[in-house]
Amino acid sequence: MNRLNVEVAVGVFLVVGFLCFSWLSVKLGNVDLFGGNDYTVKANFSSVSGLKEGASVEIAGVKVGKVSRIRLGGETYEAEVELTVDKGVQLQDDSIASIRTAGIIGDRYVSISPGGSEMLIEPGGVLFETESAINLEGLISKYVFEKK
Amino acid sequence: MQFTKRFLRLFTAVVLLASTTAVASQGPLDQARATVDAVMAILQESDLEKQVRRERLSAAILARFDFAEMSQRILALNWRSANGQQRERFVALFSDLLERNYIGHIEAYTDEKIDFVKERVQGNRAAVDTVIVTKSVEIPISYRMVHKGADWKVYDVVIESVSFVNNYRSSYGEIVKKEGFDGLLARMSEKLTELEQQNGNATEP
Repeated sequence: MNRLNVEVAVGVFLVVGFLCFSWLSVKLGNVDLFGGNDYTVKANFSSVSGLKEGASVEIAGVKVGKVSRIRLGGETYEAEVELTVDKGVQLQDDSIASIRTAGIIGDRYVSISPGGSEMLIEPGGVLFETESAINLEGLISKYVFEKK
Repeated sequence: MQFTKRFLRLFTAVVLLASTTAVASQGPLDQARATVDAVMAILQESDLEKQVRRERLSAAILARFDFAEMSQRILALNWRSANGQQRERFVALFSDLLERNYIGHIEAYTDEKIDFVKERVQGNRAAVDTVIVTKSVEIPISYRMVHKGADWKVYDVVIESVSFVNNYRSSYGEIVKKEGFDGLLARMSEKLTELEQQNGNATEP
C-alpha cells in the first residue's frame, strides 16, 4: 500500500514536471498555440533592410503586435511582410506602416500611424500605405556629393 | 455630297467617342505621365508671362491632385472630430499653402528627367513609381493615387521613402493636440499671409 503511494506520487511529479517543461518551451519559443487573440495583415515594402521576424509593431510607441513573416514577392521583388496585430487594435484603411529604427543604431521595427478612414482593414487584408526602410548611409552619400 | 458630309460627321463622332473611352481606361501611370508632359510643355513655352504661366501651371497640376482626400489622410483622427466648416477651411488653406510653397520649385525646373518606372494597382488605389534624374543624383518619388470617376488623383507623394502625408500627419497632429483644431487653422492662415507678403515683395521690384 505504502509503496503504491510512492509510485503514484512519483508519477504525478513526473506528469507535472513534463507539463511545466512543455509550458516553458511554448513560452520561450514564442509559439502561439491557441491563437484567437490577434489577426494578421500584410504590407508590401520596397525595402525592409534590417527588419527581422519577431520585431515589434508599434502605434505611438506602444507594442501592438509583431512581424510574423518576411518574404520576397515573386513578381514584384518587393518585400512582403506579415504583421500579427492584437485583436483589440483596429487599423483604418488609410493607416501608414513605416519601418523605423529605435535610436540611431537600434533595431528596426514597424511603426503604424493610425488614419481617419471609416473603413477598417479586415483580418488577412493588405495595408497599402507603407514607408520603406531608409538607408541612411546611402542617403548621406547621395546628397553629400550633390552639386548645388 | 450630303452623304459624305453626314458620313464625316458620324466618323468624327465615333473617333471622339473612342478617344474619350481611351482616356477613361488609361491607367494611373499614363495619367500621371500625361500631367507631367502637360506641365513640361507649359514650362518650355518661353514667351509666356510669369503670371499666366503660373496660373496655367497650377491649373494643370491641381487637376491631378485630390486635396480633400489628402487633407482627410493628413488629419486622420482629427478629421473625424472636425465639423464640416472646419474641414472645408482646412482643405482650402492647405491647398493654397501647398501651391504657394511648391510652385516656385516647379518653375525653377531646368533639365531634370523624369522616368516612370512602374505602377501597382490595388482596388481603387495605385502607386506610381518614378525617378527624377538630375545631373548628380537620382531621387525616387512614388505617387499614391486614388480612382475617382475616370481619373486617378494623387493623394500622397513618397519621396525617398518619406511619405508627405505621414510627415504632415504627425506635425499637424502635434499642433492640434496643443492648440486645438482652430489653433491649427489660425497658424496655417498666418503662414499663408506670410508667404503672400514674401511673394509680393519678391515680385514688386
